[in-house]
Amino acid sequence: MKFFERTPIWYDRAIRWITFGKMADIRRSARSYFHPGQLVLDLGCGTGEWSLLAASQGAHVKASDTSPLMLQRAYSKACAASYGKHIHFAEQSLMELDNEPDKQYDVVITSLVLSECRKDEQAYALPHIARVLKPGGLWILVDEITPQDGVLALCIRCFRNTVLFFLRWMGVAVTHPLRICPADLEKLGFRIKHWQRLNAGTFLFCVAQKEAQ
Amino acid sequence: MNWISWLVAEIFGLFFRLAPLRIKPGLYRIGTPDENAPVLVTGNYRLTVARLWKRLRSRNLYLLVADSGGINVWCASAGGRLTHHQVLSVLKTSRIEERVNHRRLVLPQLSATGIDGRQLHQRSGWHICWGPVYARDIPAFLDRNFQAIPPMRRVEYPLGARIEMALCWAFSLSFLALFLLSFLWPQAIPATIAIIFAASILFHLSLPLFRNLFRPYRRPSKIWPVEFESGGLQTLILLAIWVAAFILNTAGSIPLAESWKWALLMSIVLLTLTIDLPGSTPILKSGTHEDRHWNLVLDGNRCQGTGICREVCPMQCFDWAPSGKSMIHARPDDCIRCGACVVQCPVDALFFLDPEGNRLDVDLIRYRKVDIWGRRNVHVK
Repeated sequence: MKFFERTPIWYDRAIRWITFGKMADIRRSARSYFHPGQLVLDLGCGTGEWSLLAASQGAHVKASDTSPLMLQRAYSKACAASYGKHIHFAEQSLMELDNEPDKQYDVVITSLVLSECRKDEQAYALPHIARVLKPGGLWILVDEITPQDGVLALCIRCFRNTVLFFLRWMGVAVTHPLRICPADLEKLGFRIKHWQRLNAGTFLFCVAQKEAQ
Repeated sequence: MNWISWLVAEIFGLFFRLAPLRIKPGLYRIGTPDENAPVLVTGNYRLTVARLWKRLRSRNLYLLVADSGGINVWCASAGGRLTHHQVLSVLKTSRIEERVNHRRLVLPQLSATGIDGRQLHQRSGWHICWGPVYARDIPAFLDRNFQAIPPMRRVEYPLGARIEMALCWAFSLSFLALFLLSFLWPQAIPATIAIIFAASILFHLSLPLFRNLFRPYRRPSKIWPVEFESGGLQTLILLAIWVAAFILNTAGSIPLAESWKWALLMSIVLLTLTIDLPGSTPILKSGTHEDRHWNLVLDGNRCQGTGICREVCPMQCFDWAPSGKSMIHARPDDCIRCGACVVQCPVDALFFLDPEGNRLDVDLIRYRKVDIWGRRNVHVK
């Protein structure tokens, strides 16, 4: 979604179109996972929609993104909603997760950020997400995912690859949908609480809980 | 990387250089590097990596290829596609710190316009040193204990590079002409392709004769109301083409419809070839970039003489002051407003003034990069 980051005013609208309006539904259903006093890490916060949701439930949030434009937009929205003091904004990437202390956060949110990373970056970030979560902490993962096998999946892949070919030719940064299944998260020490594929299986909403041990 | 990969990159690079040519980012070993081997960084432009391999294949070193979107180092840095985030990413994912017992990273000099060296040092702990402009100078740079002499730091546009650039423009435009004219005017294909190649080679080979018309980057004057680098050259070419068509027609040698058709085709071809002629050379500022009218100012009171501006300037505009304690902007007319010196200056002694004389915030240059239209709209901090 880096393409839209250059115009943050349009970002939320673009995400709404791309996800066929599902993002708002997901956030609504995820509201119950946030509680007062929790420490939340919002990685790739974008315009801060998830951070605002967590802050509105009384959580303290650290929101990070690599784009100052998006952070600026997120900060404006937080101030307008009077949550400016509950959210700490930081300009950093997922590759700097190793600077975060172990077992620090109750909830980690990665919404449309892992698909912006290459496979090796994803492989680097996932163990760190598990590391920074407290035992019993939640990881809310919302992202593009490769569709399951089938004719529809094949059609979607063909269409997507054709579009990506031209976008890459024009030098536009493209996304890398996750190739992930519940077993992969279990290997990292998570228990799946919610696993939902949306939009013909191309979009994932997952809530995973870190095992107590 | 091997000879076949190198050859493929060279041939493909000649035909399709205007499009991104990707190679997988990550750690590449050249020779048999040990824990003392130098660590060099570059972008994932396939042609760059192939040429680096060719020049360095007799050495033992690690090459970290950062994700610049398949774009060459200079353009990617200026456009915000190669920043400290991309270098940090390849540093972490490659686990290079486990393979070497030093923390010295050699960055390409031309990436200084995009990578904030201090941010990278603070966030990674690696010490940054700026390598030479060209791959051919890297062996000498390594032999000199990571020191570059001034000629290694200057960008050139020699005959070979001009021919390469002319051919890459001509090939790209010929493919387009072949495709379009197959439907519209098949008889004109051979002549059009010949014109494309002749004009492209002529423009680039004769550039030294008229490069001074493009600089210094003055605003339009009363004598010539259109800037030469963005519109003036094209206006002259169009005038020449249509006057020639009119003369040929009135002389009776070519019928009216035929001469107009050829004039229109020639206009399209020549406008496309000259759409950003200065911008397709490394020694002139693009005519589409708003920065070209800015003036670089060195604040002598702030300058502490670190010499970093001299290290990263691709046109070698800076010299030491006679006192040896500060720098002077000795050759301002050579400046191409790349902003590398402003980005890297540790004491913010360098800044730009816009044509109205307003001082531009240093962070604007440091963290806002140019988009495809030449405006500083891309934030990269």
